[in-house]
Amino acid sequence: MATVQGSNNRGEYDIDESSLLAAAAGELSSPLVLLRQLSLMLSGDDIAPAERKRLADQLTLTSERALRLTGNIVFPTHTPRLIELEPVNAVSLCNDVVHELSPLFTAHGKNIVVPRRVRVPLLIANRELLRRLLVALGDNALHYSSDTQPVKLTITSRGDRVRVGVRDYGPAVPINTIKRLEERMKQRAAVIVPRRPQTSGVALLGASRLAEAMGGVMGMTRHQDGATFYVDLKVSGQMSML
Amino acid sequence: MNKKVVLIESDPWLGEHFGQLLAGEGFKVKLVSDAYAAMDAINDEQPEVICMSLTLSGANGLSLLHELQSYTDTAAIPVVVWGDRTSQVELEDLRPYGVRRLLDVATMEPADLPATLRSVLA
Repeated sequence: MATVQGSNNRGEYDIDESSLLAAAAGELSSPLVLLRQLSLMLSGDDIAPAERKRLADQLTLTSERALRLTGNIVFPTHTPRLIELEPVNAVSLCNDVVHELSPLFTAHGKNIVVPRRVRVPLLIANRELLRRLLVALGDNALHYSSDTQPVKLTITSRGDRVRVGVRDYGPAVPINTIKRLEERMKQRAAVIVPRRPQTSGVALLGASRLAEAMGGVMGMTRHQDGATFYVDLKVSGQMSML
Repeated sequence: MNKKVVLIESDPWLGEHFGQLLAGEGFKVKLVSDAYAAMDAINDEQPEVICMSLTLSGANGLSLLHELQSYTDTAAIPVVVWGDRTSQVELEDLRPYGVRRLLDVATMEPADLPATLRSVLA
């Protein structure tokens, strides 16, 4: 198992804009092409009601996917303003993320879960940004799960930090790729992950920037049967009231 | 028709969509998402036709086309490619790579892909 972490330097927002724009254009074009195809099919005359509903549902899911991608593109290109941080219940938030992503996973015959956990660590974060970050990572993991091995949101305490991760069961990422990922994150450039062609480089870059904005660090742990993309955030000193 | 086709598209949703369109028209579809998996699938399936995106992740579409032309058996398989206007590639540029048709995803209709495959197989 190997681990690497992204950069956490503050005040540096030099983005490799050409790289980001190229990756963003490439990633956004696919859902737009699909939306067009689906709408053309939906406008056909001889469509059975069940097929019409399937097409409509797919239109909705594809639109939502495109909107999430847009959010991932917009955030990295702007210097984050002052972000309000607060104690956040990680388990509650992870449950919200699972609830939000479940329709998408179900539509693809997949599953995403939060394992049960007795202790509930509070962490310091911006709830909305952390939600967006985890949704981006969950979205990214969609194609690396199965009925028997769902994508898992994981929460672990590590000293004064809490690690919230998204564990998938995709192809193992080679060590040299991990080092390249680290460099790309430091350069704030979109990432291409070999052997994982369905991984969104824009989403990973966006997630990395969201983590930074909350004083956290994003990283990846390599497993033999997949990977965990995670964010480390400060634990709250406040006693859990939940 | 039941012709075997290897379909190569990096975007899984778009790939599934094109795969369903072709399966609905009687093609036997093997969907893969990158150039390396495509080479394996082409060797295993021995398809009658290959259809693919020009903008693949990782090793790009042109690299795959070049690789296919390196072998006598795969060079003989007709290839249909789709891309968008930004790729600024003309069919004439792709013919030396075995490409028989170039579809523009910004203007193509859902029925165009199966119709195009049928036409190159005719």
